[in-house]
Amino acid sequence: MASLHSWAGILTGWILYFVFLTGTFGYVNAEIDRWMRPELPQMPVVSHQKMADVAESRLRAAGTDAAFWVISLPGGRSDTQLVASWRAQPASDGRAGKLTRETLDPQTGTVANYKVRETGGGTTLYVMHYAFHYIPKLLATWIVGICSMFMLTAILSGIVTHRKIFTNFFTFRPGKGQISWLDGHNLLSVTALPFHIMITWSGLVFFIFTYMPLPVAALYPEAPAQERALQEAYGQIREERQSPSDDRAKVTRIAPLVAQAERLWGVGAARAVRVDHPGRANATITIRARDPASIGNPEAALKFDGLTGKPLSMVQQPLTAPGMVSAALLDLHQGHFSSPLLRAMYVISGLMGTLMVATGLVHWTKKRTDRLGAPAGSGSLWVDAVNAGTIVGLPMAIALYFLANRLIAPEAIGREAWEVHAMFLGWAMAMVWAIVRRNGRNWIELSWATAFACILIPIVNAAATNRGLVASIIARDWVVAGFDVAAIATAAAFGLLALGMMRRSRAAKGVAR
Amino acid sequence: MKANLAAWAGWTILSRAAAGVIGGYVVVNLLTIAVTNLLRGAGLSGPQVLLSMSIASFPIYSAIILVVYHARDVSRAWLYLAACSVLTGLIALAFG
Repeated sequence: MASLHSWAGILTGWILYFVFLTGTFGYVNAEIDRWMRPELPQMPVVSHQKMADVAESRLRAAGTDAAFWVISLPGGRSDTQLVASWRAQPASDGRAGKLTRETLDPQTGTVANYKVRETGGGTTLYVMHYAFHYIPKLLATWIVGICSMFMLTAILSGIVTHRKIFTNFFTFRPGKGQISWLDGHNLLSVTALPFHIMITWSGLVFFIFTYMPLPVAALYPEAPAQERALQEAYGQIREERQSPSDDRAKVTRIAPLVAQAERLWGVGAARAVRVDHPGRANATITIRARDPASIGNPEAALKFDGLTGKPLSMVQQPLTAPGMVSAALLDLHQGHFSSPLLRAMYVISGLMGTLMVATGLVHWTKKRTDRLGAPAGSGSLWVDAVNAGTIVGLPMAIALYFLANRLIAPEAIGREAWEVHAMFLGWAMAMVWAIVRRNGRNWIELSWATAFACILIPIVNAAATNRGLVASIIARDWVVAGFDVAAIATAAAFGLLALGMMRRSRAAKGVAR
Repeated sequence: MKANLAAWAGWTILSRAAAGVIGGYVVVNLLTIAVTNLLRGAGLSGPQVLLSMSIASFPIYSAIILVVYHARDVSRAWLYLAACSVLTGLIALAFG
C-alpha cells in the first residue's frame, strides 16, 4: 500500500506543487489585481445611491434606446470602480449591438480616464492554476485532471496506510533525516485532510464531463438531447429574453430602488443594476446582491417594473439535488462566499497543501538516497535538483512576476505577456542553476535568491510607484500594504530557511571531520 | 539473475498500474451507465442519476485503483477487472 502512495506522489509532485502554489495565490487574486494596478484609485467613499444617480445620468445621455444598461457598483474584493455599460440595439441582420463600458468618477459621473498599466494581474496567476500557460487549455485540463486523480488516490491510500493514524499524527522526530521529513509530511497532510479531500474532489468536479464524457455520450448521443439532459441534471432553465416593446417610455429613477434593495440586504450590498429595454414600455430593472448568501445558493436579486418601480416576482428555479451537490463542491473549492477570516484560512490551508507536496517530494528523494546512496552523477541528485528548482525556484519566479509588473514601463506594448515571460524565464533559470549546482549548495543559493527577490518587491514598489508601503499605511490602503508585508514575510521565511540549511551543512561537515 | 528479478518487478508494477488506471476507468464508466440505466428504469430522473454517479465516480475510481493494485497477484487483478466489466456491461445493456 505504501509503495503505490510513493509512486503516485513523485510522478505528479512537481506539477501538483505548481497547482497548489498558484491556487493558493488564487484565493487572493482580487487583492493581487489591486496591487498590480497602482494607477487605479482606492475604493470611493460615496453612497451607492449617489453613484447610481450619476451613472444613470451618464446612461440617459449616452445610452438612449440601448438594449440594456448595467451599472456596476464598487464594493467587495474586486470591484473598486463605478462602471457603466450599455449595449446598442442589435443590427438589422441580427448581430448584437456594440457594448460600451465606461469607468465613471463616483462623485460627478464624468468618464474617468485612469491610464492603468496593462497587466494580467492576480487573475492570470489564478488561471495558471488549472490552465497552465503556453499550452492549449484542454491539454492543461487533462494534465491537472490526471494529477488530481493521482492525488485523490494518494490521499485514499495514505489514509489506509495509517492504521495508527492518531499515533502517527502526534509523532515528530526532528533531525533524523528522511524520517523527519515523513513526520512533517504526515503532520501537514492530516492536519488539513478534510481540505485536501475537498479540494481534490471538487477540482475534478469542475471539469466533470471533460474527464468522464463516455456515459453522457453513450446515453445521450445527439447534441440537443444532450443539452436537455444536462439542463435536467442540474435543474437550470434559461430565462426567456423578451424583445423590446415598440412603445417608448421613460425609465423611473434607479437610486431609490437601490436604496430599497440595500435596506433589505445591508448598506453596500448591491453589486449591479441591470435595466433591460430602457426607454421602452416593457423596461425592467434587476438589482443583484454582491455575494451569495451561502454555499450552493445563487446571489439574491430583486426585479422591478422599469416605468413604475413596482417590485416584480422573480422566478428562482431551484437546483436539483445533484445540482446542489455540484454547486456546493465548486463553491467550497473557490471560497467566493468566504469572509476575510475564512479566506485567510483558505490561504493557510493552501500553503499547508503546498508544503505537504514539497515535504513529500523531499522525503521521497531522501529515502532513495539513503537506501541507494548518491554518488555524483546519479539520478537521485538530478531529482533533488529539480526538487530545489521547483520548491524554491517557483516562489522566486512568482516574485519576478510581481517585480516585472513594477519594472516594465507602464506604457510598454505587450507588457502583460512579458510579465508572464519574466516569471517562466526566471523559473527556467532557477532550474538550470539547481541542476548545474547539484553537487553543491543549490538549495541554499536558491533560497537566498528567492529571499532577495521577495525583499525587492516592497523596495521596487516604493521606488517605482506612489503606492509604497509607507504611503499605503498612511492612506489606510490595507490591501496594498498587506501585499508588501506578505512579501517581506516570505523573504524572511526563505532567509531563515537558507540560514537553517547552512547551519545544518556546517554541523554535518563538522561531524564528518 | 538479479537484473531479471528487477525487470520482472518493474513489469509487475506497470501491469498493476495499467490494470488500475485503464481497467479501472473502463469499469467506473460502465458502472455509471449501468446504475443510470437501472435507476432510470425504476422511475428516477436519468440525467440526475447520471450527474450523481459522475460526481461519485472520482472517489469510486480511486477505490478501484487501490483494490486492483493490491490484488494478491497481477493476473487475478486483470481477471477481476474483466469480470466486473462484463457484469456491469451486461447490466447496462439489459436496462438500457
